[in-house]
Amino acid sequence: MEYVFKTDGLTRTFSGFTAVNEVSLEIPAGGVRTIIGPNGAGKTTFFNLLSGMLPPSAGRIWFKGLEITSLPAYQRARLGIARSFQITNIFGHLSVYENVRLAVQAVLDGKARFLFPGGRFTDLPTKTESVLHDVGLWDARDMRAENLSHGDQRRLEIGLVLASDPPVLLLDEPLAGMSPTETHATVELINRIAPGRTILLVEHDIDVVMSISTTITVFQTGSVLAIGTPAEIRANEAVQRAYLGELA
Amino acid sequence: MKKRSPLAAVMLHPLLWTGLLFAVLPVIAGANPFAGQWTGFVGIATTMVIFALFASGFNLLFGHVGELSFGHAMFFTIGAYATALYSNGFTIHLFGATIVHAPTDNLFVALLLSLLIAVLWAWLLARLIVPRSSGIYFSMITLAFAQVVFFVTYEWSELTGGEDGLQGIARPTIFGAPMLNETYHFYWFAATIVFLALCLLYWVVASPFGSVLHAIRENKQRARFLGYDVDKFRVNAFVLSAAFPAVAGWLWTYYQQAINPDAGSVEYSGNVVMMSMLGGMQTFLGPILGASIYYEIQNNVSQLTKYWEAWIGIVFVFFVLVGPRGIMGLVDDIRHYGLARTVRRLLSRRARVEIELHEELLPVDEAAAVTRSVQ
Repeated sequence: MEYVFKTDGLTRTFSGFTAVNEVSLEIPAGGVRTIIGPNGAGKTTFFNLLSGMLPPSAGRIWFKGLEITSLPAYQRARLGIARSFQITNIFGHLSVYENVRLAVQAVLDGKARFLFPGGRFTDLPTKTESVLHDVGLWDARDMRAENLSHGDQRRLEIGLVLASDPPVLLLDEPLAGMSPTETHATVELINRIAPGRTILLVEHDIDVVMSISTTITVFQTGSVLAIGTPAEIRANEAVQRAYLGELA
Repeated sequence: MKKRSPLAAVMLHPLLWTGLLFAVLPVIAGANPFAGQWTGFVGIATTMVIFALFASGFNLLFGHVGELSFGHAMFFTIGAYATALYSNGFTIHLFGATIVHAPTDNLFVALLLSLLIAVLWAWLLARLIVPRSSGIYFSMITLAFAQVVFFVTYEWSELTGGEDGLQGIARPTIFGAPMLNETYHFYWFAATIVFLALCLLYWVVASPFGSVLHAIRENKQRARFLGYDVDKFRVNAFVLSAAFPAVAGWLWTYYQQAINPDAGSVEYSGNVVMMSMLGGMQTFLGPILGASIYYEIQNNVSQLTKYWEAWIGIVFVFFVLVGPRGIMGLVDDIRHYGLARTVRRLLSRRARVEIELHEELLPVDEAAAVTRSVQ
């Protein structure tokens, strides 16, 4: 089966504490692949290892057959791995438009043209505009990003990720702190962009997880506890004990 | 923010205001009606435009990338000494060989040499220190390297004239014509060069490259995860920001017709920090205006008291505490909120805009792990 990510014995320790413990798995291409697990299970660390924010303590990572274990984050981004952050991570003092434009510009090649005005990148304004419409922030384009509401900031964060039109998206708790209306809109957005891409999702909202996931991977204390379709995971006793049971 | 009309865009263009400022500087620089001094001094105006360029180049790194170099005078002094040595000629004995350079009069070659040496030195430094340091460490290490350059100019007497420096540097001719001996002529020459260089700098700041610098200033981590090679941009910005002070040093040598190690001192490095903050470090006009105001204060207050530097300090502290975005920040506020509201905002604690240092976000799991290991 074709995979986007493959890990082999992937381990990350922090001063004696093992956050991710010898995880070996293949994440197939396409669909919404969700990672769930109790707090401290290593979900975000796993994301950080995949996206290049942290180097692994041991183990190896491949992206579509290319080993990326020691590739810096910006090069992984250029391969088409885009990620959002659990804590909103935007350019607060720049305008919403500028935020998205920077994200679109990042993947347009032709470094020599970098010193020419933005207009020379022919598709830059068009693409920026379409991303702003996609995330519903076109009307707020001239606002400073830090002045947006929390939900809008989260949406801008997704916009930054989408701007490069990446084949693979890593979304770390995109719904955190959103109102029900905002959650609904964001889930719709994720569903809309999912076709043709692979979306890795860390999310706590179990109803959303069950409704949009193609497969669910359950993490517990740094290891993979179970992998399966939402129905399989719901039926899995170990998972119920470890995780779902707490919520029920 | 509404889209500006084309007329407003021209009227508000920083280069227009820079040009206007340079046009009136010879008339107003150093003038003080209160002391009965109604006309300006062209010499002070010349100093102002040269330092406007030095400070603006420095501010590319400080205001736009968010890295405070505390040693930018090294590039100024390199430009200045390269020009002086090229013009005056020199004889040195090195490793048993004698190197002689005859006095030469070609301002273009002097400019190229100044730029070349400063840029090469900046590039080596940048490759060495930029990927390894930022924030306070970056400031300290640039300071250390600037001290190295300073002591070379101070100690290598055979080449640099040591503490006394080099004197008797002839004003250059332009295509054989001695056009720069008149103070006024030299002012217009310097102002034109500085204006052209500032146009180039503006182009850099307003380009997509400039936006990436702003993105790096705001959030390095985000920029990296969008796919930008952050360190490469920082290195390039460092080299660019070294080139402009070198040009300023080139002008400074021709203007002063003498140069000594002070040009590369900590004081000069600190002055451009002050000028940028005074004028407004996140604006294009800020350092240009800051340089003028700095010398305006120096000239007027030094006539009243020898402690004029204390007054500069007081003005500086006033801006740091009350309006950390500098004079241009105040102008912006007045445009947006009106004068009365701006004054009220300045007086209220809440309105103070913090100069934020964006820390790299600690990964959440890592933070949790650290907490756990502490427990």
